[in-house]
Amino acid sequence: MLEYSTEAAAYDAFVARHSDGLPIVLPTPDRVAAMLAGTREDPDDVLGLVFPSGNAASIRDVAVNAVMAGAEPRQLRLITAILEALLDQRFNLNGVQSTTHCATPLVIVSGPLAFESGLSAGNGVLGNGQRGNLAVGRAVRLVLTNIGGGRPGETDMSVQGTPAKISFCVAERLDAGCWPSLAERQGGTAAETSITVMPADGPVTVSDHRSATPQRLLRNIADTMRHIGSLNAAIPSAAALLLSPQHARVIANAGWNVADIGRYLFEHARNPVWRLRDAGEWDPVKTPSFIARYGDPEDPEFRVPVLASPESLIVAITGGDSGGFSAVVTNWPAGAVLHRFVDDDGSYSLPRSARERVHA
Amino acid sequence: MTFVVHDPRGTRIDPAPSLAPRPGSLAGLRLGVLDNGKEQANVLLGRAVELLAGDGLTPVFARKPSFAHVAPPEAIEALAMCDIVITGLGG
Amino acid sequence: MSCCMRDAVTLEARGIPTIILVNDVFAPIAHATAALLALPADYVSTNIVWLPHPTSNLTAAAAAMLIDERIEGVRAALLGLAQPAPLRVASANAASGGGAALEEPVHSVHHGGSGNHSESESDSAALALARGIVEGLAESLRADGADLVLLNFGQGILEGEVRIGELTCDDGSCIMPADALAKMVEAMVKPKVSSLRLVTLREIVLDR
Repeated sequence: MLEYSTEAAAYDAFVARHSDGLPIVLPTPDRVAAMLAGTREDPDDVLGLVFPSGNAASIRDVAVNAVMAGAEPRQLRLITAILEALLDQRFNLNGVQSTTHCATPLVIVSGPLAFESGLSAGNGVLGNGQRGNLAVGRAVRLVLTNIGGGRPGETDMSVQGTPAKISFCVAERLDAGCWPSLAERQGGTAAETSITVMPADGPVTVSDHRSATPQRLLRNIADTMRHIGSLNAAIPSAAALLLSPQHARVIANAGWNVADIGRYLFEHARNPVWRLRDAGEWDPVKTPSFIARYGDPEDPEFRVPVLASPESLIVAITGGDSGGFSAVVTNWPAGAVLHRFVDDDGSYSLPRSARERVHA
Repeated sequence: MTFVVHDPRGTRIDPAPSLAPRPGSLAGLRLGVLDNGKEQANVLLGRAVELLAGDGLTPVFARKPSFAHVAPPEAIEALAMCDIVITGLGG
Repeated sequence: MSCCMRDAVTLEARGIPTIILVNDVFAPIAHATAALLALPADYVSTNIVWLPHPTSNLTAAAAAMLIDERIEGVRAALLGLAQPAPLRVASANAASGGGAALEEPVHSVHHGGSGNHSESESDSAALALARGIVEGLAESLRADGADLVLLNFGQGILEGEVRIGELTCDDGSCIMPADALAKMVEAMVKPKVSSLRLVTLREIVLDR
């Protein structure tokens, strides 16, 4: 515990040392105790080690930062589940927190617990006014910086950062009637809630009010997804597509599903080799495994995908009903996309059917 | 009267790292070279190795598959057989 | 920066002095990372050799000249002698003055947790006990072409590796993910090792 002479002294010290630059709620014993009522887990249980510091984060430590972020006790289960995914070594939090790139976790919550916890998926979902989304995303970020130590100008080398480093959390619309939710596609039931995390850039808007076919809409989306300057252009990897309901319906009404979207964007979100060479993004030495997986780059017809595979695309429906706007989120490829499910006793992962090679 | 709040920084688990003793001279030592794969790291480290050969240092090279991750165990094992290591590029 | 410094810490713990070439623009980051990792106050000044930023677009000749000019510094660092400071000044993020100084809090007893343990003998005994407890689990993994190896116990943290070799199934589904195995190991070991706070397992895919 930290003792200050006055509340004002505590507040000034916390805003200067332990905040994201914005005002925080002081984590008094009463407030932290109230926050811990939002979980059945033992407050002393350690979720994991947060890098780059390697300090341990207990459930209580997470509750402290959740109070500071302005989160509610009913959001604590989501926050701890998100952190369990981020602390998985495959996410490579050490890298995400210290890179010169503008990387930050994108969090997508899919399932009924999102709305029971006060998250939102309608108009303005990625921006201001989304109290639950912002508080949950901010709580996660405060844990990462206060416990993990990834602070800009100190251990976080990000040259420009991004507004998404304040908070970057959305819920999925479950009522669009297009295809099973992200949670269901990960193997959950309609009653289960999943969280998905991806090391991400900030979102890029795709505005399209005219396309009436999936092909034309997705070609426009592909054009954004393959932009030179994202790391995806240089390294086929993962990306997220946050589809507005209007765009999702254009696709679903033609009988397409998420697998079709993944396949189409894997084929069409590509850059010809000459364009990458021109941009200085082409590494002339390609390994046999690259050739086996993606094709021979010496073939003049060859176009380099931005996705590692059709399944590397994360698709979630989110946003209001009032227009044709979607968001493309490209990734920081040295960390993995992970999914976890959430319940009253904590979070869990379902057995995976394919094992990925990971860096030790 | 004081104002008490929880500490938001978690718990330090790792003990403070201990540093190995430094050699008195470089002659005859095995020099591990850990290239983290950043642009020009191999060129810069390579030039240092060339110059240090004159000091009687024998190089052992290891390269990280990704500069965004810590060195894999096989690289550490190869370097653990050296007397001193140079790595880069940081940043 | 933290990857290079972590690698250095790993090697130092194995008895191998390690120095790092770092672009000078990252000097504040190097200091902050060293402090975060609880390295000694003079770590950065004796173990880092500064290169002028940027280096990514240098010609081979320019890169060689850069090193030629600094090779004395490299030798000195390898011998543990102090380096000249980088020419770059502190980053633009440096806190400006103005306003009252911030209060330093008094640290009272840390709430919760059983405190740090530094009894290495009982840590070794706990590790041996844990290995015995999970041997049955490790054996079943070996039957499927993997292995579970517990490597270290300290400060309440049990560390190990799940080593994936030639699996008996094609898609990897016969082996539980490392995070699930870690929870299983925790449940098995905690009743016998009360100081256990966390199990971390790294997944290592062995080259075939």
